[in-house]
Amino acid sequence: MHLSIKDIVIIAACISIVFVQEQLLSFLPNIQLTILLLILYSKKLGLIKTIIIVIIHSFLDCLVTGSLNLYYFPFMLMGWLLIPVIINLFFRKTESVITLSIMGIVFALLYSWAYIIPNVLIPNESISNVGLINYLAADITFEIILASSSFLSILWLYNPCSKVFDKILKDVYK
Amino acid sequence: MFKKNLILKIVLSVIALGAVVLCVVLLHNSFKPDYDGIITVEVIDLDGSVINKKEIEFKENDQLMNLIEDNFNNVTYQNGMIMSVEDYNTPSDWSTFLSIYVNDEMSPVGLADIVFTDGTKISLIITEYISDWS
Repeated sequence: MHLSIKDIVIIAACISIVFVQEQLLSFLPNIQLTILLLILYSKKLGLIKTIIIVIIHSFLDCLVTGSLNLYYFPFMLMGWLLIPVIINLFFRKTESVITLSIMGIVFALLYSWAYIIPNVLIPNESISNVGLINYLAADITFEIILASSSFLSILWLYNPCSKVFDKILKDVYK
Repeated sequence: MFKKNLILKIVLSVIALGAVVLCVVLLHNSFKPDYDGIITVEVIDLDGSVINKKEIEFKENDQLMNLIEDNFNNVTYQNGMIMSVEDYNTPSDWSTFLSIYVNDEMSPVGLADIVFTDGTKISLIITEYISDWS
């Protein structure tokens, strides 16, 4: 796959936006615009470019939060990669903001549940014997916050962001 | 159609916002400690060595005597005075006794009347009785 300089610049800018908004909102528990942005990128930039964005963003995020290890990084990556893959496979032509908002809830839950694998299913000395039910019970509030905030952000911000993004892409690739 | 969509969006937003607020409040409450403060209680031997020292969490209406009784071994009281703690027992001739210090100053009141707050240090110091004060 060939990437032009413009593609690389767009990808870099998109990574910066995802990364910075996540850091800016990190004082709020699980409230972020990541799912909105990844859905937007998936629909506007396509599968490959969004996958590149997700890989670099996940790497940077893990690097900053100190979780860059084989225990968490692959599952974080898996959780986020589901968004471009599912959007490009099944929702490429969907423009209904309510459908995308509901998908935001689904992605939030899938992303949260990806962490069940390292936290519950893989034996770990530091967090042993957590148990699936206990893990889900402890995590459910965080999952609801991520799902609700993603739902709200997509519902109200997807269309305006989509218009701005289209304009930017039009200007860059003219 | 547009109006119907807008109403649907507003209703869904209110529900989602309610869920976020509810969860944030739940999280905030779950991280609150279930105690109002911590006091340090130590038992000091005659030679100044620490026999036992504990940091004890307390709630607003907890009584100091009960906190000590619950956290140390062999605690007995007699007329409001602490007579024994850990391996120490006040001898019948009172040649030694437990004196009470609050924040390194001798307490003018008994254990039952000591007002303690977060960070208060209570020292139970085994003290030799000196009969000849001259």
